[in-house]
Amino acid sequence: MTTSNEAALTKLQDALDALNSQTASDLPSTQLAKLETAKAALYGEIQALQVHQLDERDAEYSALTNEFQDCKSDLSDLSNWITQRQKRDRALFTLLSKGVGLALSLLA
Amino acid sequence: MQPRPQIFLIVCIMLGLASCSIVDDTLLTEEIDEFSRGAVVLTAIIESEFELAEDLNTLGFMDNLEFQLELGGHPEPNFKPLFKAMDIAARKNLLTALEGYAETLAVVASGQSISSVYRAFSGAAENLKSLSSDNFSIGHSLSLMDSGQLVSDLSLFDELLILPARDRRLLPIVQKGNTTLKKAATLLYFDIGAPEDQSSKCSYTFPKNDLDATLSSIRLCKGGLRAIVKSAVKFDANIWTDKLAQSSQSDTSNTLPLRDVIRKIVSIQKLGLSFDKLLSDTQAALVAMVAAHKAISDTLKAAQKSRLSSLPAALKSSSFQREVQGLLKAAAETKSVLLELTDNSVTAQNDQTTPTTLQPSGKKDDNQQ
Repeated sequence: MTTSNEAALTKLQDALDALNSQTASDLPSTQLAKLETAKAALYGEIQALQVHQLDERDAEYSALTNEFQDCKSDLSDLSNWITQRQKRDRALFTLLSKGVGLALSLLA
Repeated sequence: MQPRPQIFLIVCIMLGLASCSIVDDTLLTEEIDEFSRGAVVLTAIIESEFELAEDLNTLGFMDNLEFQLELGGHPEPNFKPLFKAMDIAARKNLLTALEGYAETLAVVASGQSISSVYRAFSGAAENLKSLSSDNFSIGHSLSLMDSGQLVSDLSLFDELLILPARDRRLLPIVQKGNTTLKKAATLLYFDIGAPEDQSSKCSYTFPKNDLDATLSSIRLCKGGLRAIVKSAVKFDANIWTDKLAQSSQSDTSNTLPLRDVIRKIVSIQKLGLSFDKLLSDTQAALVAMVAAHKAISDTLKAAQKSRLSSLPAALKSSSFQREVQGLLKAAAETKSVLLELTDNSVTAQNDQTTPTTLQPSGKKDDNQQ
């Protein structure tokens, strides 16, 4: 958070705390309604500033999303490689099994 | 009849090949699968936490609006959501990408994506297994059990030929994923934030988002979801505290029974505590997720040099699983309490038109006198 935002947040929080310290039971309904309006306004600003902290990280989220997609793509490539490799090994395996069978037959 | 030494040699070669698997792939596969399932659940929980924070903010808005109307005010009814659509989209996209990575990793480790090919490939072994010892014409040199074992051992070839090479190729991808996962976890950790400053160096300075920092050593300054939730809880609790104070002064015909208001105040504060714990535990789960993934990476890396046990990975992954399972329950409870509060809010408003709730409590009458 930038200094200006942090300072603004502190001021808003102080203002809200001051309003919260008002004793509601001492106020007539109309005054209390205005107090609640003011509190809601300050609360909204405070939350907006705090959410702004999160906004500032959107670009980093986007960059990392791309990195994950790259990793997933690499994994998909590996999966394809495994498929191809298994096809090749299948043939090799068949040859080996035949060889073993032949060897055992000769030994018999 | 005694088997000939050459047959023992063949059997020994096959068994030797079986033991050459450079890493315990069964265990590794299980660990990757556990990591993947944990990551998928964790991403869903984090997504729901943003929604819960939004719901909590909405509850505060509704309660404030309702109170102002009760007081005869003319509040602005236009609701502004807490988060912008693009903020949520940025996080959802990352969580979806993380989930996709974790799922694909599990698929590659388990070979699920190639199941049909694998079945066909295994078919050769199955055909071999279906052969009886008579097919080998070795009944006179090997016992039936020995020849059956030999056939079973042959089926290990499929794994022996693929797995070490797969693991060698998997390592750099997992290492790359390791770096990205750590950065993503750190970013989410920052997003969840802290309700109060955790460092004495927080005065007007938010710690730089150092994505290379060690998660366990991060000392956050106030901010993020935890601070947002804290503000929302305080705001809503304050509305009900003001209601409580005001009810002693105003016409009781338009107020809730005292006990209901007190229950509201307590429930909201308890919700705040449980929500904050959920968020704090989520941060711990993020740390555990990074550790579990790193353990998988370390296991694969070490396996390139020598055979080693996957035990460290198993421990890290189990720890991550425990964290996530605990979170699931906590998230469900928090959601349930928030829903109850929201429903009660609506019910309470409706109930004010019924004769039963129009009756003030005895205490309230006393206060008014």
